[in-house]
Order: sequence, then C-alpha cells, then structure tokens
Amino acid sequence: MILMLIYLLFYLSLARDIINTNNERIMRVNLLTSKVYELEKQIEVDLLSYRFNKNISTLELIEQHTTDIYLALDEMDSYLQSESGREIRLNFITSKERALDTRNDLIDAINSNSDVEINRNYQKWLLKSQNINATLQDLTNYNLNTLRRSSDVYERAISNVYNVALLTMISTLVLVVILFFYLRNIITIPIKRITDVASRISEGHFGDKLDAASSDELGVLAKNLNKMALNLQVNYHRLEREVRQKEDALLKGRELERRKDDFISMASHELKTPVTSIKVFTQILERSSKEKGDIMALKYLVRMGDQIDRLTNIINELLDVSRIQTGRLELNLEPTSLRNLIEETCENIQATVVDHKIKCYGDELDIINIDKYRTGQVLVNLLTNAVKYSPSGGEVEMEYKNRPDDVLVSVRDQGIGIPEEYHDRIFERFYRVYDKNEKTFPGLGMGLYISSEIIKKHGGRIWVESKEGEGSTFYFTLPKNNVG
Amino acid sequence: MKKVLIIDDDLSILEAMKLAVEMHGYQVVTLSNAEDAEARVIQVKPDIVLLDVLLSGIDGRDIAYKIKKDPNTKTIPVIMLSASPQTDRSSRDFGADDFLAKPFELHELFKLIDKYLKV
Repeated sequence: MILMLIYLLFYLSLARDIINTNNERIMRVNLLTSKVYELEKQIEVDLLSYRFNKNISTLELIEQHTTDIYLALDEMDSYLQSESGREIRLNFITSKERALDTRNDLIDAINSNSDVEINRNYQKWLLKSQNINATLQDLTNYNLNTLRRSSDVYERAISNVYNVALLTMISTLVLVVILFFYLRNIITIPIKRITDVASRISEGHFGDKLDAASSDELGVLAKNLNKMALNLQVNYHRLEREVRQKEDALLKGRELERRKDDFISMASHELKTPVTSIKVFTQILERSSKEKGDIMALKYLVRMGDQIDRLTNIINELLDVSRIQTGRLELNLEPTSLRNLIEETCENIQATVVDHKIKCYGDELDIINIDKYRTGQVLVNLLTNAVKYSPSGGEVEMEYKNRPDDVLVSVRDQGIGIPEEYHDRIFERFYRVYDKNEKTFPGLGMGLYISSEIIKKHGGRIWVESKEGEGSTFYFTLPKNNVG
Repeated sequence: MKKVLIIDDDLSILEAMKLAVEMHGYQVVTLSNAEDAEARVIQVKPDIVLLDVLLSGIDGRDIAYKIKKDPNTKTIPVIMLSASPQTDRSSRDFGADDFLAKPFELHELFKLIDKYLKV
C-alpha cells in the first residue's frame, strides 16, 4: 500500500516535470513567434524608409533584422526537434530555409543597389514572411493543443492519484475493520473467555469448560486449560479429602491425648487407693512381725514396703507427667530454706544407700520462694539418678552456690556418663538413653522431664555436663525473685 | 480414750487405717458415706478427724470447711489425706489443720495424730 502511494507520488512529480518543461518551451516559442512578427514589421518599415532616403545604414539594419529572424526560427526549430508534430516541423524547416534564401537574395539586391531588385526581393520577402507566419500560426495552434493535452494528462494523473489514494484509504479502512472483527472473533473473544474461565478456576469453580474445537494455538490452550482444570479438580478434592482426614485424625489424636491424660490421672489416683491400703496393711504386719520376733516375715515385709514405695513413685511420676501435659502443674511458692531442704534430702537419700557417699556442701543461702515439695522432688530425682547411674559406687557431690540473682545447685557423680548427643534429649518426656553395654537401668524416662518442667516453672534453668565414662554433673538454678 | 473419726469412701483403706490407729492406742470411728458427715461429726464428737479429699460425689475440703465453720465442731483438728499431693495447700486454705499424702508411712500418720492429741 505504501509502495503504491510512493509510486503514485513519483508518477505525479514526473508528469508535473514533463508538463513544466513543455510549458516553458511553448512560452519560449510564443515569445520567439512574437519577435519574428515584430522583426518582419521592422524590416517592412526599414525597406520603406530605404526606398525613400536610400540610407546605407538602413540596409545594415535590414540585414541585421533578417539574421535575427533566422536565428529565432533556428531556435524554435531546436524546440520542435523533440516534438511529435513531424509535419509542422517539416513545413517549418522548409519555411526557414526559404526565408534564408529570400533573405540572401534580398541582401544581394540591396548590395546591388538596384531598386527594382530590391523591390522584387522585398515582395518576395513579404511572401515568405506570410509563409513563415502561416507556419508559425500552425506552430502556435500545435502548441496550444500540446498545452491542452499536457494539462489533461496532468489532471488525469492528479485524478488518478486521488482515486487510487481514496481507494487505498477505503480499502485500508475496510481491511482494518475486517481484521479487527476477525481478530476479535479469532483471538480476543477466545482469550477473554479463557481468562474468565482461568479466573473462575482460580476461585475454585473447576466445572467451567472451554470450547476447544479449533485446532489453532488457542484451541490447544483451551484444551490444556480444560485438562488442567480437571486435574486441579481431582487433586483439589483429593487434597480436601486428605486435609479432612488429617483434621479428623488430628482431632481424634487430640481427643485421644486428652483422654489418655485423663486416664493416666484417674488410673494413677485409682492405683494409689489400693496401694495405700496395701501399704498400711504391710506396715501393720511389719510391726506385728517385729513384736513377734518373726525375722523372716519382717525381712520380706520390708522388701514389700520398698516395692510399694517404688510403685508409689511410678504412680506419682505418671500423675506429674499427666499434670504437666494438661498444664495443671501448679507451684505452691512459699518462703523456704533451700539449704535445709538440700541437707535433709541428702540425709534421706544417704539413709537408703550403702555403696555411695553423698557429700553436701555450699554457701549460706537466703530464704527464697519455691515450691518445697516440687523442689524436693527435683533434688531426690537428681540424687537417685546419680546413685543409679554410678553402679560401682563412689562419691556423689551436691553443691549449692549463692549467686546475685539465683541459687546454683549441682549434683556430680562418678558414673557412666552421658554421650553429648543426648544432653538435650534426656530432658524430654519418656526419653531414655540405652547403654552400649546393654545394661538396662529401671525407669520410664519421666524423672528428668518432670524435674526440668518443675525448674522451668520456677523460672530456672536445668542442664547437664557430662562425658561418656567420666561421670555427669547436673546443674539447675532457682531464681530469687519469685513471689510467693 | 481419744476418739479418731476416719472418713474415706474406700472400705479397704478404712479397715486398714482403723486397724493401725487402734493398734496405736486410739478409739476409731469410721465413716464411708460422706453425705451426712457434719451431722456424724456432731454426733460422734471425735477428738480428731482424718478426712479424705476425693470422696465419691463430695469434695472432702467442703466438709473440712463446714466443720471449721460450725461453732460446735470448729475446735476439732482436721487432717486431710489425699492421693494428690497438689491438694495440700488448698486443703489448708479450706481450714484443714494438716495434710498427709497417700500412700503414707504409718509413723508419719501417728506423729501427726499425736501432735494434735498432745500425747
């Protein structure tokens, strides 16, 4: 289309150039024609004047003017060379040559100074002039025609250009409109539809289907989108189902966990009731055996008592774990002499062991707010652990240090130690370290967990420093700023 | 002879404790149905009450509170017994004079009773 327009513009400018050149030539020819007419008149006047006064200078003028006419005709001829008016040109050349002959004759006559000759040749000249004038008239007419024709050509060219330009514009417009509707139907509308469906899919409406009949890229896209929506729907429902199952399982798990805690709590309580009566009965029997001096019965009754105490401990620990799990571990903070508590506990434990020497020492301690019963539980746990995990006996040291903000208590044994990777895990619920040598120690893995929860509940910290085979040192701190 | 009233819903414990406390030299009255406990306390006029916290359907601490509130009975020492050591403080808050966790050593129980009966 652009090429077409460029061609038209080129064509237009070409036509204009041709027309301009023609016009210039025609105007020049017209000018020369007028000049020839004037020179003819001048020669006539010169000849008349010469016939009266015979002035030689007049003859020179005539010679000059006839030469000028010839030159003008010659120039006109040069313009006619490229023209198509062949007949006119031939006439013109004949006239021109005859004019030259006549002129020469005239000049000769003048030079001969014979009036008769001059007159005869003058007449001849006049005749020739008429001839030239006729030729010139033809030329003028021809030029006028040429002018009209070139003007027609130009107008036609312009009109052609306008027509073509208009046609081009209209066809372009029609093409654009057609293209618009075509693209709208082929691309925009399907894309809009695809976008809408994709957006609906993203909102969870997987049921929307796209018409995927066309085999072009959009058809493929629609087909893939339908496939994707179907897959999404399937996966979504699967995930939803799984999430629901997981939720149910979780709820069930929580419910089970809660029921388990309730069960442990109730079971522990229920267990304690028979244990209480068994313990009372055992002690009654112990006393009566002692009175009777039945050593054998007494020995076994004491052993029974120990086992009842062990059972009681396990029940108590289960109760505590259950309390911690349900967030019901509460502290009864009251002003307590921690030093006395530690010393008493050390004495009590020492009373139950033979192979171990329990050393208890430390700073003077302030009276601080702690739960006496629970703290005692921690001390007993750490001391019995120290004894339990140093099976070959030895020293167990309990040291207490007064520090600015808290009290630091440590329990050091010379036992089997704990590999470093277990140092954090031993404070977890039911976590137990299994000895390399397959030597098992009794217990359920509750003691350190309970102790650590009790210390944390006080706002303190508990940790261990130990190397396998080189004994362990357990530390805990109790803050001084607790309010009772 | 000093009279000890033991209130517990477990018959086996009642029997064992009755036996033990009698061996220690006191007269024992037992009560397993706690519903008319206060009336029984007034009726029996014990020198000391041993009271279980978790009784079937009734909280022993409420009974302790009522005993300590009633002018006729408020001078009677009340020792609470419980399988749950956590109830120690709350028992005292309800007016109990002392607390003993189950299961217990007999000598501890005797020590407590003796303390209140000033033997």
